[in-house]
Parts: sequence; C-alpha cells; structure tokens
Amino acid sequence: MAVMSFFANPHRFMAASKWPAWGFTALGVLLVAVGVYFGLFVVPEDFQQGDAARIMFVHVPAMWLSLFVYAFMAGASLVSFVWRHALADVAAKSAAPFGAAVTALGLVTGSIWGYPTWGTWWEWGDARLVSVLVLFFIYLGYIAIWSAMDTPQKAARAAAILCLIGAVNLPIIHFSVEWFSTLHQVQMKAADEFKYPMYIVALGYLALFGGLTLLNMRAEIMNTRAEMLIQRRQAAD
Amino acid sequence: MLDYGKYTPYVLTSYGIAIAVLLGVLVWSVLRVAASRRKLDAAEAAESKSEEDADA
Repeated sequence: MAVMSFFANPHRFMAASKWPAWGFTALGVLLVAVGVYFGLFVVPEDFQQGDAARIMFVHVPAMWLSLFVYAFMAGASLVSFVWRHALADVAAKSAAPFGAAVTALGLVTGSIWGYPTWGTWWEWGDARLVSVLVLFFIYLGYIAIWSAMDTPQKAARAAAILCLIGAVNLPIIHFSVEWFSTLHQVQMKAADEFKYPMYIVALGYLALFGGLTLLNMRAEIMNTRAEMLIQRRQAAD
Repeated sequence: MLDYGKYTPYVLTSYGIAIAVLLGVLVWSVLRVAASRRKLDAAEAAESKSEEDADA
C-alpha cells in the first residue's frame, strides 16, 4: 500500500522508473536471445514430437505471458476503480499492447505447431484455442476503447470495466483443457533440458513486459504533461 | 545447422515471427518514448519562452 501511494505521484514515478525501464528491457532482450539459442541449437529433439517441440520454447511462454499481462491489467483496473490511483489506468493502458502482441504470438505459433502435430492449423471446436482468440479480441477492444471516448477519464472508466469483465475469461482459458474434451492437450511434464530454456524465454518475456510497460508509462505521462502545457498556453493566448 | 528435417519451415517460421513481434513492440515503444520526449521538450520550451515574454 505504501509503495502504491508513493508511485501515485507521476514525478516520483518518472524519477524512479527511468533506469529500471531500460534495464528490464535490456535484460529481456538478453534472456530471450539466450533462450532462442538454447531452443534452436542446444536442446535435443523430443522423442515424441521430434523437432516440432522446439516451437514450444516461443509458444508456451507467450501463452503464460498473455494470461499474466491480462491479470496485471485487471489488477491495475481494479486499483483504478476502487482507489482512483493516478497511475493505475496508465499502467493498464501501457501493458495492453505487449499483452495483445504475446497473445497473437501464442496463437500464431500454436497454429504453426498444430499443423504438423495435429494435422490442422485451427479447430473451432477447441475450447482452449477459441478462448485464447477471445482474449486477443478483448485486448484489441481494450486498446480501441481508449481512442473511442470523448475524454481520457471516460475512456479510463470504460476500459477498466471492460478489463474487469474480460477477466472472467482467464479461468476459462486455464481450465478449458480440463473442463472440455478438446484437441489441446493438458499441461505435460517436461524434462529439465526442455524446462530450463522455456523458463529462460519466459523470464525474458517477463522482463521485456516490465521494461516496455514502464517505457510506455513514461511516454504516456510525458504526453499528458505536454498536452496539458499546450492547452494551458492555448487558453492563455 | 538449422536443419530440423520436415519441421524446418515450421520451426524457423515460428522463431522468425516471435523475433519480429518482440522487436516490433520494442521499436514501437522506444519510438513512442522518443516522440513523447520531443513533444514535452517543445511544450516546456514554449512555456518558458512565454513566461520570459510575460516577465519582459
């Protein structure tokens, strides 16, 4: 709570976030590069899936992050809704493009993995696939809502409501493979040599998410301040 | 090197798309920060100039 209050002041946030923003971004690039190297050159082929299993190193962490980013946005929207925290809306808004990007990445790489493994690019009857597609559309709707309203205050309120309603989809995605009999398999146990590169890429995506969200929050705050100065000057003229 | 038999096009396409998407979000974010910084600097410069004019 004390940290939340501390960062309610945009000036404090700007002072404290500069180096973490670039640091997390650089760490994310490094970890993803290491993970990709392991995924392509070090890890042996899987005894069941063959080399198609290499796609999992970019697909699975993308799906983890798609849920994590949305949960982060829902948390920030709740904070905005309940406490009217100055930066909560900015945080949720700044996280959305990365969330949409990793969700799209998860859908596309999953489809590419599915064709040689399942024999189909897409299956409309599969609850996991369709619920993740719904998540992607919620991300797009959330991003669109910010530019569809008259004022930023109205947009923030509407976006927060959409985000909180959309959070219902998270448990549906997670449990879809258990609740419904689908093409998508349940979570499997992987050997350490497969697990660690996946964790490295996941940490890389997570660090990139942290760094890029902070960068976008900084851009949002600078933009708001610039707009305020421009409007003040126009009013004075 | 980078030969994964019949899975080669699927593996390389997946990694290529992953790198393109992540680089795209990274470049977009960096350009956005730079544009916002320029906009704020210009607005602050105009603000201080008008304050100086008012003082004069």
